[in-house]
Amino acid sequence: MMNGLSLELLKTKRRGIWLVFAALLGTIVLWGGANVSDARFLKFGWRMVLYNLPLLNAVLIPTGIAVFASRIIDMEHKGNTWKLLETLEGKFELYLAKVLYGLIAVLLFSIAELLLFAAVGLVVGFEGTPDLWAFGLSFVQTFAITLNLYLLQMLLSLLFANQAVALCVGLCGSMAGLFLMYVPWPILKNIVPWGHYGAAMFVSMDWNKAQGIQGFYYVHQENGIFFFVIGWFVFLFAGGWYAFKNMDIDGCHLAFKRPAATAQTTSHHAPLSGKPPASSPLPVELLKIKRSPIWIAFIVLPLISAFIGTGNYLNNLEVLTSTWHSLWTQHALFFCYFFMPPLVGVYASYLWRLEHNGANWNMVLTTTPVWRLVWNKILLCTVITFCTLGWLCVLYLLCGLYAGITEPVPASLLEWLACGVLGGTAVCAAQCFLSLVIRSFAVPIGMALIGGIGGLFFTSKGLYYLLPYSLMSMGMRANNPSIQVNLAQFAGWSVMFIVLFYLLSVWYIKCHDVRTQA
Amino acid sequence: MMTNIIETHSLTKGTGSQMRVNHLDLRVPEGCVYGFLGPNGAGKTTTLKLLLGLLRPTDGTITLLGQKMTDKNRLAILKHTGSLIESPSFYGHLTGLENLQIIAKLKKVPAAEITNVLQTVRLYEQKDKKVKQYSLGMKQRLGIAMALLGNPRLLILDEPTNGLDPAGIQEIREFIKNLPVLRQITVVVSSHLLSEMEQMADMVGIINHGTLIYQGSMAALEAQGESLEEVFLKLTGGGDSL
Repeated sequence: MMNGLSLELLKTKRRGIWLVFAALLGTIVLWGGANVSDARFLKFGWRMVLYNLPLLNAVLIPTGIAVFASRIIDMEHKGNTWKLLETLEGKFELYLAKVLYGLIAVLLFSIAELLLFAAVGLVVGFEGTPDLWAFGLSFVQTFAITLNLYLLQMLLSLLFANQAVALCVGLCGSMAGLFLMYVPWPILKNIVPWGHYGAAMFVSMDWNKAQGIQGFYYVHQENGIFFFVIGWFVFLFAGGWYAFKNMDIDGCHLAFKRPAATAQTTSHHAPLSGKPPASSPLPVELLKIKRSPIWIAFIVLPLISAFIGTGNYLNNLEVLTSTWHSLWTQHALFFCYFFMPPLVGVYASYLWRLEHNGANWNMVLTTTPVWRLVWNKILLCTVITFCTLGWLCVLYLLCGLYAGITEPVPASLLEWLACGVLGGTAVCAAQCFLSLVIRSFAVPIGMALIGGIGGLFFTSKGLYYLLPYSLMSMGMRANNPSIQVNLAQFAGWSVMFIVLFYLLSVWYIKCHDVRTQA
Repeated sequence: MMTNIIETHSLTKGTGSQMRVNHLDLRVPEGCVYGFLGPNGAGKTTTLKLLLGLLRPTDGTITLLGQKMTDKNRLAILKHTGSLIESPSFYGHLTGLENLQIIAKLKKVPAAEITNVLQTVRLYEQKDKKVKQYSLGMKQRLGIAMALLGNPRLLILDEPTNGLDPAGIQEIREFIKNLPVLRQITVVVSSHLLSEMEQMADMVGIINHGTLIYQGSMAALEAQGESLEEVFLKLTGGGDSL
């Protein structure tokens, strides 16, 4: 067994696994640290950390762990190594080695996370001493829940050689985890593994509207979350093994099965029947993404957002009184800041992966001018982004009608959408550049998530135009529909980013030798 | 009496119109170079994958090295084999040496042997280069080195000269020819290049549309017509693409 594990270590040399965790930890600690280091909160800082952790974990870990799992599984797909490994070691050893590798990484991550927050506490000077049992409990929870998510992502990365699937599920998971924190149906948190961070919370906040945060206190969770976590672990571990064992289709790739092409007959000299194949009317970039699962993400993510956003709205009618505007914030706020950037990242990574595969670059660069190639990619990415945002708006209107809002639909919705798409194009250009330069599927997506959070930070300082990610969210008026945006400034920065990343991409291709993977 | 190192009994993969390999009875005698010939898409690679247990047969049995292969003993048997299927498998972000270290650990072979195989395939000088920077021919050599690690009794090579230059092809050919004599290794090698087969195989199996249409010694096959090419085209129905 140790042999298998040491092999995994050897294989992940130079894969930059530690960077994934460093980025994840860095984001969590910066974000969380900024929250708790306010001088007003120092007197209950230790408990506040424990209160904040589940939310941070629920938003960031599902996507981060999806990137990690994809890093260590995708190398086997890319290297064509399943057929080799399966002649050399037992499938179960291989499976166990992958599981153990993840388990150790998750263990180290959970320890590091708490140590870093302890360091933050000591540096900013929390009062009193931390409750060791509480930190211990928090560690166990983070570890166990994250391990489950790792098993799930590992399985998805294994089953679908196309890593877009696993990454999209990771994103949906982040989204679900976040929204479930605020949803009034607690049982949902228990059922969905991404909701476990929220379900396992054992610190509550003493808060009132007049005086703000008064303190934090421990609560006893009686929702049986322990059994749900164990149940998911057993299911994922055993189910994962079962699925892995029974994969026979050329090693491990479980492709979407298509109906067999017309049966080949044995008479090879029979005259060809039927019409000769016509050339397809689709533009070439669209032809390339034919039969790809990319549409799943853009249908599903806004659906989750709309479903939970509407539920939240209906349950807080006494606070959320400005009807359409309130509903818009529920739908768009988290979606635009946390999920739209990585989703655009998935689109961009997917579009460039088509060319990064095999020796495709040779073919592409001998047939298409560089400026048009890059332009096509950004354009297509923008079209998909437009569809996603448009779908979000359609769902918003439907949900508004369902929620019984009788006032007229805000006329500025179209303006929001137009600005969102312009800002979105800037994100597309940026992500297309990243995915062009970084040939990994998952890494640019992780960067987009960090970019989105960075955008939130800049927006809070009034500098939303410094990052394409916040331009998109600001264009959509995600945090406040009644905010006034300086349109000239907004458009100027957006166009600047689009042109900048477009030129950078063209320059990158022109000035670098072609690299193929054959 | 010569023993067979590979025997299959009505080995089948697929059904109906999706039949990829149809009731194959392979007999590969120990100590020979067995040339597995067939047009593109005839089922060569599928058959080799079945032999290695990478695909589950729809029907039929496989006996490798005198043992009937089951899920349980598959890896124990495969310990004595080496294989290179389709294009070589490798981790592009690791060096050639590191890739071989991985295989050595998996095969539980002492690391000292790595130097040996690296020299055999003449990659020793390039061992510290990342494999994604290798040329196609170098990757192919690395694949062969991986197959050779652990001194297997049976080597299964799927079009091993793909992507090699003429000197490389000749080198690999001589190398394969000598394996039974010098190292007591039986080799199954698939190809659609007739001239290549003519020069290195003692035994031949020809597969077409998933069915074995000839199996026997190379000499007997050549005796059937003026040239191997003519015999081959006649057997496989001519006009099909090669």
